[in-house]
Amino acid sequence: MSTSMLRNNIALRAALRTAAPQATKAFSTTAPTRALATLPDLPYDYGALEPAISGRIMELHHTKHHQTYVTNYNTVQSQITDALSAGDTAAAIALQPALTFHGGGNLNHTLFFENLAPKNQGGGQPPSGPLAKSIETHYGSFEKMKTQFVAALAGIQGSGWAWLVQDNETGALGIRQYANQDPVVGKFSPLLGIDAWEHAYYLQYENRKAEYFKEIWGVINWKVAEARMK
Amino acid sequence: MQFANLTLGWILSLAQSRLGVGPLVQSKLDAVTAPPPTDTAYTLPPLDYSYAALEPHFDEETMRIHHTKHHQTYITNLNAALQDTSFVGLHIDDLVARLSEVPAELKGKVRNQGGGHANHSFFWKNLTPNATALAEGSPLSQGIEHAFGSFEVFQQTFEKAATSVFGSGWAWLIVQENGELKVVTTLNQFSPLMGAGVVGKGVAGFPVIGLDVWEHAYYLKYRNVRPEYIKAYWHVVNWDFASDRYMEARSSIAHPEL
Repeated sequence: MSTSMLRNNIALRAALRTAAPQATKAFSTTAPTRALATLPDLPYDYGALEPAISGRIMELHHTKHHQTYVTNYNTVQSQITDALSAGDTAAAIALQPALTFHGGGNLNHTLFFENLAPKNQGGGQPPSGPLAKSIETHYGSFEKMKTQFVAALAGIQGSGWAWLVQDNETGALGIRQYANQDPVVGKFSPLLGIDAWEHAYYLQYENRKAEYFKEIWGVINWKVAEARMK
Repeated sequence: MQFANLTLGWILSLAQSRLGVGPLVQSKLDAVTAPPPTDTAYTLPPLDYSYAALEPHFDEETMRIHHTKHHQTYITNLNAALQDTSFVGLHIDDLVARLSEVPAELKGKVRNQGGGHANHSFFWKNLTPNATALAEGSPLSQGIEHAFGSFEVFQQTFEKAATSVFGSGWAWLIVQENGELKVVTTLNQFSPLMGAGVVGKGVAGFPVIGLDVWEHAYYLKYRNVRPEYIKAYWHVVNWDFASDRYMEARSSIAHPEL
């Protein structure tokens, strides 16, 4: 378990993430550089989200799954950099699925762990500011939005995520399903994500994913979701 | 288009011709799974072995939940979707080969739930507690050597494919329409039996072995370490069943390339 003093300071961690150490090729002056990703700390202890999500799941999810996405994302970055440096366009493009998967996996899990919180850090507290208003406007009520969100989660075939998103042009809210580790990019920005991959709940809920989709609302960090609004 | 129809026709005829096990496996089993009744809904096929029989490679708890919960749920949902339609009573492999005939509003459900039922039904038969090595010189062994160079290269190819499924899916060794063996993967509950129109020309075919790489298939025991699960799979592959499947597929091809 991490004991980093940065754990509770989300803003500071986010700033450090964007200023991650640059790795440059030794001899080339024109080769593209890449920023090595590192596993961000959780802002809470692994067991802090119980009983909604077990400490065993949180630890595996963070130290194994998320870490693996980080590691592999760095590998893919390296491979794409090499391909681009060598002028091998085909090879760089062939790496796109791997980039989407591992890079998306890193992005998604970073956002996910940030939008969860223990009850004593506001987890489960419904939103009250602009986000609450926007939810009412688009869904009629917070409960109606939750119902749609759960339906989206339940409808995912295979592995994927459901996100509350904001349309970058209109500002409108939406609930969307994303397959595998496809990240929320392009037309929409992510506000709140829930991981529906089996590893997110299996050790505790087994095949009873409907239970997980119900219990997780008790640890959602709506303040973080609201801070993501534009 | 013509190739797609050819492949589909060939797969359909295979699906319809046989329901159960071939002579090799038949001779080793006391009881054989009876074909499902043709006028009622799908039911969960029993395993030919106990839930604990594949230990330590596949753990008992996973086998039990996988069979009684996951597979059962596909069947329950499929039956609900097909209620009062003319598709009730079709053998499941027949149903998934006929996806193009399913009405648009049902197609997604039948593909996901029907694919799940077909894939898992195949999977249980594809496993055995009494695994023996594939006999060298046997037709399947020769086919593998022809397609991959050696059994070892085939295994590496299969392991790499199974590892690289990005999300939920399956890894397969299939017989293609020209009689050649190939390692392919499908996402979610897609099956090579669904034909080229659904899974593409390169993936359509008749499964000989298959491995479920959805997380529910291995998470309780192997956690995130899918490669370990894949290695364990080799200890429980039913090569007798696989050989029967291979012979079945090859015998229905007019001019196999070999």
